[in-house]
Amino acid sequence: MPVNLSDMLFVKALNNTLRSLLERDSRVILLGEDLIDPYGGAFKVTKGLSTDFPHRVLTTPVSEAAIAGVAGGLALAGFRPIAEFMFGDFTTLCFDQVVNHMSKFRAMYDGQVNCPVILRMPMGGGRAYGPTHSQSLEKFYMGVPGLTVAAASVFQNPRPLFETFVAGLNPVFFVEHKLLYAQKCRWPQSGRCGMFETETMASDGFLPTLFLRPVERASCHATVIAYGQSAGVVVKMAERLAMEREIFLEVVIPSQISPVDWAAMEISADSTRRVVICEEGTAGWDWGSEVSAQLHARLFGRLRKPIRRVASDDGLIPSGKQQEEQMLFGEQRALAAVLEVLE
Amino acid sequence: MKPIILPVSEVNSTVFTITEWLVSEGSTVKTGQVLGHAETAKAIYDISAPGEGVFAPLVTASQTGEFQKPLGFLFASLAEHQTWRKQLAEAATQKVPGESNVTDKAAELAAAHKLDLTSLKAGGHLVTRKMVEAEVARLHAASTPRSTLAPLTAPSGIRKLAIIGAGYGATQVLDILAHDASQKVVALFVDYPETWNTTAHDLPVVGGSERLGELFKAGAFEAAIVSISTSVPARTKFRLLCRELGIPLANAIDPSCRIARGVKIGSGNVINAFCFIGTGTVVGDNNFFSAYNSIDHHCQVGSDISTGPGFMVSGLVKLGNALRIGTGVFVQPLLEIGDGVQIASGSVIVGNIPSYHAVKTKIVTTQVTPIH
Repeated sequence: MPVNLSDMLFVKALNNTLRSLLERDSRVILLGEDLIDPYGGAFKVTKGLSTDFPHRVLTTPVSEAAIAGVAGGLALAGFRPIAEFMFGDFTTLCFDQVVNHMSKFRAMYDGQVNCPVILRMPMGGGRAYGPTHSQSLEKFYMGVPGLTVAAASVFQNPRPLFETFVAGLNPVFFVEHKLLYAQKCRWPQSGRCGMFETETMASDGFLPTLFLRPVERASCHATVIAYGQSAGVVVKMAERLAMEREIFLEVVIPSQISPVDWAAMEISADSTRRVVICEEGTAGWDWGSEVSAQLHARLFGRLRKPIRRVASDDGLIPSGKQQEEQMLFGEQRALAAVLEVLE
Repeated sequence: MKPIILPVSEVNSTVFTITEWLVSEGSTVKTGQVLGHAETAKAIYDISAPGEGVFAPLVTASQTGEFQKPLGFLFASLAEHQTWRKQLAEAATQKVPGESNVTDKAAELAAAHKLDLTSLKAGGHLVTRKMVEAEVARLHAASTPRSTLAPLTAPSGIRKLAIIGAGYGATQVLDILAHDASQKVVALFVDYPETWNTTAHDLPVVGGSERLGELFKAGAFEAAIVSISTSVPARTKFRLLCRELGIPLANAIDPSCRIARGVKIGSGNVINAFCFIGTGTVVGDNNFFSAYNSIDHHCQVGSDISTGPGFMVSGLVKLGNALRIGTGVFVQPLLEIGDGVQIASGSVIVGNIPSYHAVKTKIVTTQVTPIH
């Protein structure tokens, strides 16, 4: 058996990524609550880094506004700050700084300053952390001009993404679903990922979109678009449907969720003409709304069925494990939508 | 068999490391005995025996364990422990999750045909029912004796034609060509091995499509016509195959047709009796028009279309590729019908139809009663 290089925990992959950035680029500074050893961050992403880079891995007071403010200042001063929020739910505390300042500086000062802050946001539920530690709040940051919103998944190596962020001039809002950390990476190798053949595509100026399909695209029955943790759920469903029922789904996993690389999404949707969009954020005014509207407009007359959107219920996320499971996005509701578009 | 778990949970950890096991596999332990240690981000926990029994670890030292999931087991006896070990080893060799690349349907079909999937699996791709079907068909064809019949000959100056298919469509093509002294059908190609080495319509069935290239190269025929009218995908498939093999397609146009001046017609079209094509109309390739079709002036017609009788198209209409048209269909002027459209018999088309859509018609059926 060849050694599977991608067969490591996602948290380790992220840790390696940050380490390599610290090693290779002296402008990179990590900051956030409890990042330093021995604690190494709430999800252990920065474990060991403060020991090796004591002056560049900084622990902060419990103030997300301060973290964002310091990070913004560092970026303006030429550094490449990577700020960790312990829970993405508290992104509300830096909303003004991101929307009215970081993302606007470059345009407002005619390119004389840049503010390339990277904000790492652990989002999502599934851990029974309750209403204020389980949300997927990225929808509030989509469509903000000058801001790149990207999402981690176990199917994509975070390293090239972060290298792009650090090399770029835009602030980046990076969504890391907290269930990803303990999962094994499943990066494609030689164009394959388990039973799937894989393809990566990126239009100019966009981060790559990954395609996973059990058979060639022309033989796929439907397209399912998902990012982050939801992508993992969808891939599991796609494996099951392929093996047990020979229903073949092309799973489209964008690493950039705003602005969207429409060309990449369109290519699969135009082939299968049946589309389901999945996400864990609460239903309504969500990412899927925009993706669905765009694809309907672009593929009007080509689609065999109206696009189906699947999300979590429109409500608070309960602390009870079972109640939480019932209201959050999961394989069952994705499956129901897929079967509906295949009717 | 009793699972050994770490019966705690932590807000900030989902996993922990087993730092060490203090007992070795196969040793008998007592209730409450400390078996090993687990380290989370914040604490080190004792892993205690939930009862008495023979110990076996599932997660080995320095590996990662999860809360509420088995880290090992306690067995009632050494024998039970050994049975478990054996089963575990067997399971590992049988089916490693994610490593089997044969779908259930494919496996079922392969078993029914006693087909060895080793070569199909070697490709690394998912093995589907379609692939197994193709393999079964290939093996069947390989074990069927090939057709040994030779095509007919024709005097020089007469174009030798091959017809793909030998059904009702072929009969119609032969009837049209009976009026054409410049072309002669010399062979039929059919993809059903049971028809090989037989004759149909006094013509030899010289084999399936796999023989097209070989006989064409040998000069046995100069052009082909796809006679299949009931399947649009089949028409497309054989047109593409002929193109790949460099075989030209021939038209078969009934002499009763009225083709106006300025009409451009591609190749491989079968146009049955009493069809009219209006001036300025451009027709693509490999279409099968049934009798009494009327395609009026300045239309643009795609390829791989198959129609029923009485397809009435007004002027300046654009027809896409790979259409399947029923009997008695009327199309108003200036409309556009996209690719892959299917239109039911009796439809009256008054608006554009986007690609890959079906037009269904509510047909008013007259009640049928016996006459007394």
